[in-house]
Amino acid sequence: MTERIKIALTKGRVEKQTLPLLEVAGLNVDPVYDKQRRLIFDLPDDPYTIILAKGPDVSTYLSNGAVDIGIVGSDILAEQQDDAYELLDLGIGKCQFILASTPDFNPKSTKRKVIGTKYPHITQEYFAKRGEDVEIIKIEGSVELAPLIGLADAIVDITETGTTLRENNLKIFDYLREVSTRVVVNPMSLKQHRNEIFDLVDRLEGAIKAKS
Amino acid sequence: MLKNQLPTGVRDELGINARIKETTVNTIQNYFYQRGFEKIKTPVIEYQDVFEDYDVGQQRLFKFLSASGNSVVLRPDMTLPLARVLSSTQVKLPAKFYYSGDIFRINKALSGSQDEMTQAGAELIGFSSMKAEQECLSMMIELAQILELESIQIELGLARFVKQILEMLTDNIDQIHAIEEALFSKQITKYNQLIVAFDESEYTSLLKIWPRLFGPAQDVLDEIFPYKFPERLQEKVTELRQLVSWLQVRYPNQNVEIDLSTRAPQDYYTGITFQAYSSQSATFLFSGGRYDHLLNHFQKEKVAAIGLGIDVDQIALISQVDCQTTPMTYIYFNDNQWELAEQKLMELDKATLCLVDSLEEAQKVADNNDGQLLDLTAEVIK
Repeated sequence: MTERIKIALTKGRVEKQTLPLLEVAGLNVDPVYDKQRRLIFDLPDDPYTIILAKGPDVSTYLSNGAVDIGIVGSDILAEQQDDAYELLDLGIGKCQFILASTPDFNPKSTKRKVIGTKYPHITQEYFAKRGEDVEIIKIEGSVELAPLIGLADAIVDITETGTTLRENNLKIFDYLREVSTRVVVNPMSLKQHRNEIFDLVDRLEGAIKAKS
Repeated sequence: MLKNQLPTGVRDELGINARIKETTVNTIQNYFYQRGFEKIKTPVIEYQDVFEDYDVGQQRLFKFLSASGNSVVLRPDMTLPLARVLSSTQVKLPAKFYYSGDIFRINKALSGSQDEMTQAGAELIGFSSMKAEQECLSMMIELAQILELESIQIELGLARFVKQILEMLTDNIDQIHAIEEALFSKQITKYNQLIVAFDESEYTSLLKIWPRLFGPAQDVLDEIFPYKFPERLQEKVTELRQLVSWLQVRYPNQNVEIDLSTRAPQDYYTGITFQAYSSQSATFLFSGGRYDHLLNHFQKEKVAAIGLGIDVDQIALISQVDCQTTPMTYIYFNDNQWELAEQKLMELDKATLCLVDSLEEAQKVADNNDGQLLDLTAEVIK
């Protein structure tokens, strides 16, 4: 029997949007829809095993060679900076990195700003490019709170529609990079399973074209 | 308090794991010694300058100040120190060396990677003939057999292949660099955008298939056959072709692949590179290549050179999987039985003297370690 290819899929929104694409690509992913509390699924008709994980863990599993393929947002890839191969942009899970704060925030002020974010690396890079040194505070959830309660001067976060920002009276001051879901591969796995992995990538690429 | 803790990124090695690693290192070193290589050992601490102009020197290193105030590092590589030795001593060339030791690089914290890694390897200095590549490949294949590594795949490459072709297309260094980066890290979306600029060049079709230009050797050679390369590169491609043919005759059962789409294992490589992995490993186990300009960096003359590095930790890790342990026999004896005890120790396959003063304690030692007890005091009574 051929060895199964392990795919780590980011659970939640990415998972919901990716499963239909995998179906269009010809994969039977019924076990994942009927998941109950399981996290590992052997696909019945294809040599793939799908593993559900949190985004940053997908990246860690991949770089350790624990899985062969990862399906994960480019926000996480940019933040983690692992050396995975990025073979395909699935064109789903689209959102945007933004710099936001309360309307009275002055981006041109000369003080050393305090920035709250889940993405310290991307934040650092963005301000470094602007030639500015900032103090970064890492926040795990509801980043919008930080400028409202006075913890930070502004935040760097991702937003899909901007609704949460608007509802919290936050204004967007700048747009950073765009985000979408990517198919990434462990370099060694690509060598070991060249044909199987390219076959899946080509099928997914076809599925994206069929959809659009 | 940190007095009983280890920093992340390093680990202790105990018992069977440490033993397997030691055996692996010894096997490799004996092999090189038997082939007439000379041992070389360099210090763990080097000046930062030794590595600075190369990629390895740009990684995060353990760095501190020497007594004289210069920056020193824990070495991140074994080849550059060797080049330093050769350029500063009167070693007669050509020469062949082997080494084994630890290298240090600071990896991402808490990611599961180790900052201290054990590497063994060989360097063949002063040989420009392809026979040097051939000896390295032979050693790789034979060592894999001796170390009982399963289904080894050999992969050949050409350092600077990508760069030299891109230089034919443009002299914009930033553009070359951007395409190289996107190709090497297979950022396909970005790569496809970047190559649009060369839609009507003689290499357009090559650019399109480039990210997938790896796989079985013959397939890759067939893919690049139609293209005409600049003379300097064409020579290397011909060498690569010859080396593949030689391997197919010399080791007909060995799978050989070529990868012309990834970065060379070290940026000081100038010619053919070779790596090997097994189906059980998550990284390359062997990695090497020709680096004819490296010594030029330390001294005036250019010297032909080629090296082969071996990831001892990975090989030891794979070997552990099917390693069975025989239980230890604990020899309990009276202090007038030393001679008999030593004799038993020699006879038995895996035994050790149990240095306690009562049979009860000895039994406890044996039980706690899942071993068996040999009670010599009882034998005497009989």
